Amino acid sequence: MLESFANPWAMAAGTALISSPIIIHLINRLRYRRIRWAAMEFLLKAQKRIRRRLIIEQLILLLLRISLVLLLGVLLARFLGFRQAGGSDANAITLHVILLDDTPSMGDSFKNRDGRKTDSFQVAKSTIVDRIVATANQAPTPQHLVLLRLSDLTHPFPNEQSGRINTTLIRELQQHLDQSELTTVHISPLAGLQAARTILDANPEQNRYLHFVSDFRTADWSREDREQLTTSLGEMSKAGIRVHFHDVAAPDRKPTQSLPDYHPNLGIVDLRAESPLAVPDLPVEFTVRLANYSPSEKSGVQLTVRINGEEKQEFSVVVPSLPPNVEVEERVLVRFDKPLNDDPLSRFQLVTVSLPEESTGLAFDNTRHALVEVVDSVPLLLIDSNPLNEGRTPADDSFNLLRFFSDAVPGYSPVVKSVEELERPDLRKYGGIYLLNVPRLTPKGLKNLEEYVRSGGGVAFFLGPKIDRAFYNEFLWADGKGLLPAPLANNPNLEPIPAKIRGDYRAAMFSGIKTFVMQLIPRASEEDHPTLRDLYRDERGLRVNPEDYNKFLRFVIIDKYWPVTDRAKWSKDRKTHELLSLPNFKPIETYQDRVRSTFEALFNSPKVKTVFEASGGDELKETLESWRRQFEKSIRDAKPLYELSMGMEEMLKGEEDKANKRVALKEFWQRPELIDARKLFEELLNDLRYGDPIYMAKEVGNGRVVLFTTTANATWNDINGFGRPYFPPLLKLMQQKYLGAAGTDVNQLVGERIEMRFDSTQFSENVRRLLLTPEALKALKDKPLKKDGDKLGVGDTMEKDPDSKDLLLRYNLTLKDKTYPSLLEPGGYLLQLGIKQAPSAAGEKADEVPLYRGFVLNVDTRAEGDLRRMDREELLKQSPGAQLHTVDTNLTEVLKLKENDLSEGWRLYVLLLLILLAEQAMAVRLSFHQTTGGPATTLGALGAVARN
Amino acid sequence: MAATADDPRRFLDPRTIARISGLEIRARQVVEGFISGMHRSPFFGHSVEFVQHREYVPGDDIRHLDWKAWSKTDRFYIKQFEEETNLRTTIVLDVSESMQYGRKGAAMNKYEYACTAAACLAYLVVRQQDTVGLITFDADLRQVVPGRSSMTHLDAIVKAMDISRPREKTDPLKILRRVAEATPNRGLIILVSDLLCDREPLFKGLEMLRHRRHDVIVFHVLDDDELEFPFAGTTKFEGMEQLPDLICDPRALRQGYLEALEEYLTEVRRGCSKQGIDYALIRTSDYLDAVLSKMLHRRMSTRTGKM
Repeated sequence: MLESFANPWAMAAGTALISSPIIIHLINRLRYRRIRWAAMEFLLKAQKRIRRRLIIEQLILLLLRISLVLLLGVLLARFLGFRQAGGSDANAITLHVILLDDTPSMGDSFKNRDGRKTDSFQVAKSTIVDRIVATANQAPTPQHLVLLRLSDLTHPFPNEQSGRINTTLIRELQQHLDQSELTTVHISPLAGLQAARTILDANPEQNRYLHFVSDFRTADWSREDREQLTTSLGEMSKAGIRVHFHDVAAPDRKPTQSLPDYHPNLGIVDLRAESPLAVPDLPVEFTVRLANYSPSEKSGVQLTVRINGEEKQEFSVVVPSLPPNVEVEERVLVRFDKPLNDDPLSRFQLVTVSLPEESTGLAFDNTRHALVEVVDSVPLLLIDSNPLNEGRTPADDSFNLLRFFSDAVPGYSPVVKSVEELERPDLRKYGGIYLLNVPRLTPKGLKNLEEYVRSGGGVAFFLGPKIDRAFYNEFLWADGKGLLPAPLANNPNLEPIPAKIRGDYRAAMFSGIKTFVMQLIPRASEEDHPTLRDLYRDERGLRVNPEDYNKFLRFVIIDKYWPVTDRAKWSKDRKTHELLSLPNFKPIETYQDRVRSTFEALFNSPKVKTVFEASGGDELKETLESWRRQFEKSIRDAKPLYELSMGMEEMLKGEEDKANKRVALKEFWQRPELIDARKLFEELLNDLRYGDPIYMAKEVGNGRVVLFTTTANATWNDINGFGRPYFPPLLKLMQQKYLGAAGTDVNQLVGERIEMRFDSTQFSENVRRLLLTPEALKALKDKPLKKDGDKLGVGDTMEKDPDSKDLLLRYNLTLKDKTYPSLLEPGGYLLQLGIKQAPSAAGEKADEVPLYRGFVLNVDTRAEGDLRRMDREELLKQSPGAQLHTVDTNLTEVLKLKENDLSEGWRLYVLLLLILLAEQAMAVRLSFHQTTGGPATTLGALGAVARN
Repeated sequence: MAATADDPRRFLDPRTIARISGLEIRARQVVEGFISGMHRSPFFGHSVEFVQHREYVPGDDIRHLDWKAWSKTDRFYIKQFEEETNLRTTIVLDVSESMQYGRKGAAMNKYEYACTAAACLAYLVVRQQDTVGLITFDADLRQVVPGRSSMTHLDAIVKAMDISRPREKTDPLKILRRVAEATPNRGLIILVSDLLCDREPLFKGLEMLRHRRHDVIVFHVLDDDELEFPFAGTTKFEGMEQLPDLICDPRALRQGYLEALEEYLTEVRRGCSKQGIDYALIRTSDYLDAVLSKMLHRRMSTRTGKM
């Protein structure tokens, strides 16, 4: 019972006082004064007359007075409402878990009301101390606190146990927050909520509050894990946890404003070098992606380029226009000087692109880094099946590539090596590895190659007669997990170009026939692939007529190639691309059933029927029937397959054909109801049009792989003949834009898990690590590292993988209670690895040879740069049970730490007043009040009567 | 000269007497009296105002023979004058126990107030050379002072009032019967009482007095407390005159009390009015002179109106 009151002892006293009117009444009965009275007659008469009424009125008065005392008791005891026995929480400890969002977006800077510059994080800190904790500190019951930062969920404040809020704790909290800085890592709110819940669930007997202090951006709450967020918050709400969201972002969210304003913000989303290796004096193209997260266009945005911290004005560019809420790609050409020496710091150059400082918004995303290793020339490794010739004869597989990269394209230094070269630990020095008709790899070589690719290398496979199909399929394809984009078919000769067709082809070529369809066909959908993109664009990046390049493909003759198989396994893989294909040589009958079923599906589709009915005529249907009849006739007549595919293409184009009485189908195919049907026809058309692939690409890990299913020399094709116009541009793009650019397209972010694998037989387990920031590099400019005996930055130790015996270098990871170093600062990271050397003959341990690796980490602008904020209703809908507060919310009212009791409402007072009035009325009625002017009115009248 | 508590002359309040000394008490009706005074008498006697002659008949007082007329006419004539009779006033004072009640802190209780009023009336009567007597009573007649018209008689009256200590209950019928017997001649009977007794015997007694052609004035003396019943808090009312006690919250009973009192007063007033009795309700807090002046003025104006 007492749990129903905030001041139970006041209620106990009140209960005791309830009897006071009765006691007073009884005491009054016992303690009376005596009056000898003459006019007893009237008194007795009155008493007799009103005895019953008197008792009732006295009882009513007594009850009213008891009620008054009872209500006063309830008022003073602060009645909280009726509760079940045992469900009391009035005196329980209240636990406040405060989850502080310290992700980069909280660095949204602005000027506060005093005109001083601040940011959301500072507002969050003051909200925690001055509002949440200060409010909690006013509560009459014990209040405990745990502060969790999103960036460091494993180290709550004050410690694993909550701390009771008092002056000391508040001071310590203030100090703790003063020392806290924003993290550079994007972290989902879900991780924080789950961590908070773990703490809250451990204290089920306490009154539990979760305060999430954040900017509540749309980007954070619209991620894939939003359903989990909703589930988690819903469960917390069901578990009795009171969830409060404190929105600290600026501009202040108005209570009546559903969709709050947000600060515009410009950010660099991505910065990529054309290649991680750069050659002095040869321009390297950097692609900068800029995002304008604001509702208005920004124009004339200048991009500043710094190399190793030094501004290079000559490379700066001005972006003419940044439309709102889109990403814009800008290219910056940077030329590097020749390294001063072999000092790794001179070779690894940190390129920093910056945006001008903004008055509001985020500062962290205005800068982005890329790391480039400057080398004299980019070494390319050509693995020839016959390396002894060193590619000197046209019969050598490496002959064409060697000549091409040596003579035609500057900046490369190709070397021809045997397959054993792949066993060396420092493959990363190569800008590309070409495996030319290599039958098989050594296990070590295979492992090294895989590691090379996965860590950001580029490998090209050119096939040929020496290929060990079984090895390739088992180890290089490895059921899709290996490097090869597709498994090879049984034999290169199994599906050769039919002799008749080949003969016709050559005959046709020489007979001057202009239209020849059995050409190498680039996949239309892959025209934007880096390996093909520049073939179809001019210097300014604008699209040109595809035929400008495709015309060269008409003369391609592929005599032999390795067909690939298991198309179903790799065709759906988004990382595998079929770039160039041969025409489809399958007999037309093969597609008879497919054509029929596709048309059946079209005509039987209820959606299509609806469209027919809506069009109000049979013309559409008749046109489609006409096409079907034509296709079936082609199949019956065993026409060439390309006729079918061309017809299908015409049909999908949907031009009007009055000669054949066909109406236009353009609008028909564009109807949204026909998306699925159209897709079926397009898939059929692709299958009709494209035969086996000749040129494929695949992204593996951070690296890239290409596969040419024919030879790199002219053994199986006419690469030295008619191939001359098309092959060199293809090869150049392959190296420059794809293989050489491997490792640059990974937008590696601070805080991301990094795991590098090294061969324990080749590498030492000790690693030195140096952070390269523009400021640090500027300071180190005049202090080049010495080559020997350098102690570079911080020392890390690799650990051995118990399964593979490899050495693992890990960052930003926590495994089996072991926390690896966190790389949270944006910038370049230079690693100094040690390559073990064979002991000398004298048995002395040889020095390790240093090997340098560099990588760059940037902030996740895409996740953090967009400052748009969640719509209030949407946020609360997504967060069942939560309440959203702004900086103006009165938390004392909202948190209800002092539970609402009847004394805070008006009802009790009104009731009290009514009872008081009733009591007074009753008391007046039952008592005598002398009027000031003389005798009572009745008696005045009496007196008057008597006197008259 | 301040009168002490034990001094019987305390009832003759000089200030009150001074205020009412200019007034005369007059009977509304012609009363019979043997002292020549201001009151008309139905009897003829020697006086200044000649009325008529009548022939002598044996038995007439020869002092009234008009010898001048005998000398002229040789017949005996009696001179008749309008005689001014004296007023025979009897003050009947209630000294029962109930008269002992007085508000705490009040100057006088009902008994003292009634005595003072009686003394003042007596003084007035004596001063106009009428006779005044006093009868005090409770359950029975206690003191009877016969009527005299000398100023020294006042002493006897106030002494009689003083020794009449309030006690016992009132029996009005019995008392008034005895009063009627004690005053065979018509006169003015002034009843000063709280009338806290049964109404029926009271009215019968008054009727009896009226039947004997007495002019009756009733001074109904009640204390303010009795009229207003201003008590609060639990109180034990101990009944005087053998009435039972009652413990009650007076505030609760006040309304009923006042209603009962009003009924009673109305009944008394009507009863008096019906019998042609002058009735005046006096509060012990009223100025006595004002009350008496008002009463006498009313009586004088009534007489003047009749004349």
